[in-house]
Amino acid sequence: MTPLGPKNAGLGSAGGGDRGATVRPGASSARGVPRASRRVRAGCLPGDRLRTKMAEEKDAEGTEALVAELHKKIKDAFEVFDHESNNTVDVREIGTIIRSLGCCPTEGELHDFIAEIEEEEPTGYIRFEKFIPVMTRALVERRYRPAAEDILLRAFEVLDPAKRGFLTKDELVKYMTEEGEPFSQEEMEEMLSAAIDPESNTINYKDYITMMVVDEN
Amino acid sequence: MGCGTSSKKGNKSKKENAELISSINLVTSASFITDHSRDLMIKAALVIQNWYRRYRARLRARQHYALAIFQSIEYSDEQGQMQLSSFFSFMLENYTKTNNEDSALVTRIFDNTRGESQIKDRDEFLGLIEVPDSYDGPRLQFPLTFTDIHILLQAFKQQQILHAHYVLEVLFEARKVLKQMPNISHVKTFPAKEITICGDLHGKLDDLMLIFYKNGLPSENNPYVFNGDFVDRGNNSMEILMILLVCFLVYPSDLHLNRGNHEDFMMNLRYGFTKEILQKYKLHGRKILQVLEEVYTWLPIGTIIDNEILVIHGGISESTDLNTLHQLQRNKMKSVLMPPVLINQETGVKKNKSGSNYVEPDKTPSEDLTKQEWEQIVDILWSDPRGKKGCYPNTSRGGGCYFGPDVTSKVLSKNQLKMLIRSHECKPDGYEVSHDGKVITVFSASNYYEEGSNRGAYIRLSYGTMPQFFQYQVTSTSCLNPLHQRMNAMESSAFKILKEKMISRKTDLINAFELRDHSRSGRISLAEWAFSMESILGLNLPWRSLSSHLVTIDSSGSVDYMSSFDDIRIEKPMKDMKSNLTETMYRYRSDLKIIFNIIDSDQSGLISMDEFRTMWKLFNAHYKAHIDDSQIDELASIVDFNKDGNIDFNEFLKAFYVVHKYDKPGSSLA
Repeated sequence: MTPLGPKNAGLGSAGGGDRGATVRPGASSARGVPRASRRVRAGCLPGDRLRTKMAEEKDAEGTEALVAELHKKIKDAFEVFDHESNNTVDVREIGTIIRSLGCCPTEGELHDFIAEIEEEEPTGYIRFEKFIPVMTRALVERRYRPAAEDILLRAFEVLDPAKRGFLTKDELVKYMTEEGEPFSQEEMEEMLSAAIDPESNTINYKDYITMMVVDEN
Repeated sequence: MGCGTSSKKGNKSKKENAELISSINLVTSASFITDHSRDLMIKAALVIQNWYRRYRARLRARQHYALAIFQSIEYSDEQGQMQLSSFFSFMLENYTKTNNEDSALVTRIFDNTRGESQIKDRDEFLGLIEVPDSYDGPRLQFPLTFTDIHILLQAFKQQQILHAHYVLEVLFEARKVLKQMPNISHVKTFPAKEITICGDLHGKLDDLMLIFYKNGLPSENNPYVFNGDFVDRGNNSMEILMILLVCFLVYPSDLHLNRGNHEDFMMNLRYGFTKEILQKYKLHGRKILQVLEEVYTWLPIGTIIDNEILVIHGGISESTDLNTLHQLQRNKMKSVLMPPVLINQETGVKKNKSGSNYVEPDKTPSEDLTKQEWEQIVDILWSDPRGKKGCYPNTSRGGGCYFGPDVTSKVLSKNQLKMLIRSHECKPDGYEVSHDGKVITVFSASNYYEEGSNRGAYIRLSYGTMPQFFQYQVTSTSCLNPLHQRMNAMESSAFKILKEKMISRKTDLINAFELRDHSRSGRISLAEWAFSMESILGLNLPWRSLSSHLVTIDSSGSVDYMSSFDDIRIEKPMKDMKSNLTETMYRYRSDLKIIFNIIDSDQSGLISMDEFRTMWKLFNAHYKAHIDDSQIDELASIVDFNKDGNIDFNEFLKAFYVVHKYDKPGSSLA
């Protein structure tokens, strides 16, 4: 994902705060500002204030454009599940939508997210107007980032202390349906259908991870 | 969408992951469970579950995107079909303006489409067709009994084909019995029966077999309603139709058939049933088509169960009036492409219904429905429910309307009904409940677009109980593949047809892109690309989410818009044919096929050069295709291989097909 706004500008990133350097005229990204001018606090000189403001606005424009793009992306993902074309989706699809946008909330986090966007009297449906601000924030703040592949591999290795390179079907079922945030039967069956080697009834987790990752293209 | 490296994680999970890593490093070969390592196990399980759920959600989203592609292209095709109707009207209106030769052609088209094919005399037809002793397919005995149902099912399971003689006998018998049915049948389940309602089957025999296997064969105690669209698209439309008609003839009070929008000989021309018939019945196919045309018009248009539940194929509109529907003469609805035409007997010129507001009642020919009656039937067969209130023209399909929950409430309460059950739309789970439970969609063709695209479903209901839904998915060997493989297959199929749509509008698309590419760099922003795609193709698809499959995007987020066309092209019959001519031919090939079929009155497969030119002139004028007359002449003379002044139009249309770069030869979807 492209960074929001020029991170290296002497103005600092979104979140305000102290602007520690002046900006050269016309430059919105001021790397390599000479040390000397850093001793001058921004806003001291009238020209500085104006240039700071212009650069801020340019920053804001850039951010605005990116947020607009984010909004369109979220809208696309939402509409695919909006079967009746009335800007609502079934609450049970929210997890799918959020995940399709690249986020990886736990079930608990998902629960909280939904609680934030539900109607006061839950109708079973989520409205787009409530969804989009919360979702945009989540994307902008990069919440719910997924674990890296190596973490996933290590997680399997924890469950396989004998380092055989595989888990038996029974072991996997036990862990997935009894620990953490347990799988439903459907989820378990689906995972098994792709992961399991029917001849040995085991799951070679390295291969499985590779396959899942490739599919993410 | 990058997974991110550890430096980009949010604070919370970063801490967790750090803990996890350090914990893992501490554990050696734990062979006993301690509190600490149990904790670790839980965390590990969480990581895996979290990852898996995201993976699964992404797959489901991809499934939905692929379905959206299939559906929007399907509907835009249907819209094209409806546009043909306006083309025919256009031809009629221009009838007087053309010269003598042309007017002869148009008259012939007009007469053909009016299709007052005279009474097919049953004996005349059947007498000509004998079943040879060598025939080892199923043999039916009239009057039909349940034994014949079993014979048919067995035979079709073994992929046998029913002889044309029996097909025609069944069609004639069905016509006779159907004529006696009312437009809308009333059925009672009270006191002790349950009735089963099935939606679109679209020639998918496996699904029908599965339904009969799970739910039992039709009988007095096991009544069924089949809610239209038995044919087209699948490979066994004929077999399904035969099974349903035979079951109907054996149990006419317990097997109810509703007409769907595909029970229409013009739809069949485009969507595959006509082709299936002509392939399976090379000798007698045309006779079958003729009788079939009429049998369709006698199918009832709806069923009302227990005076509470209305079952129709498509939907309703705010003007739906059950009284009108009960009374009209349904057999006058030949095809959705043939709206009623008013004859002004004084001038002898035939005017389109929309041409004149003033109708003298005694001048309306008795062979036609009134405008209102016709529209009522089209609404019933073509409309779709939507969440938005009100009633709007169904712009996707080009016919019928979108109706909102307020329309449903109003029409149901006006007629003292409680629920509407309809079909017509493919749903991922085989069924869908909408409008506060007042509308149920049931769709019975699983894997409709592609292996793994959707489940099928049927409904069982009886008086006073909630409807029960039964879902299924036909499995063939490929279906036993795990989810992600089926998803890949479906997805690549969807994108293939989407690309074919794109290439049929290549010139227009490139113009739109270049308009925004001021620096002629070959690159535009994603937003500009998405906007251009939608404005040209009008498919209402989430272009941004689909972009990575259709076009190359560089690291700065710019779209290389020409890259879509790298691996696909339309084959040209002539080397230096202009690309817009090629594209136009390719784009309209289905329409042209239908028009040619109609012109070809003796069904020889050939039309004359003059007919071709005339037809093309009119087509060009109406569709504004901007094709030079001279280009057409040149093209036609090239396709006229034996220079006898006749064009084999099937060969002509086959000459335009799309080549995908990575396809094996001969595998294109022409």
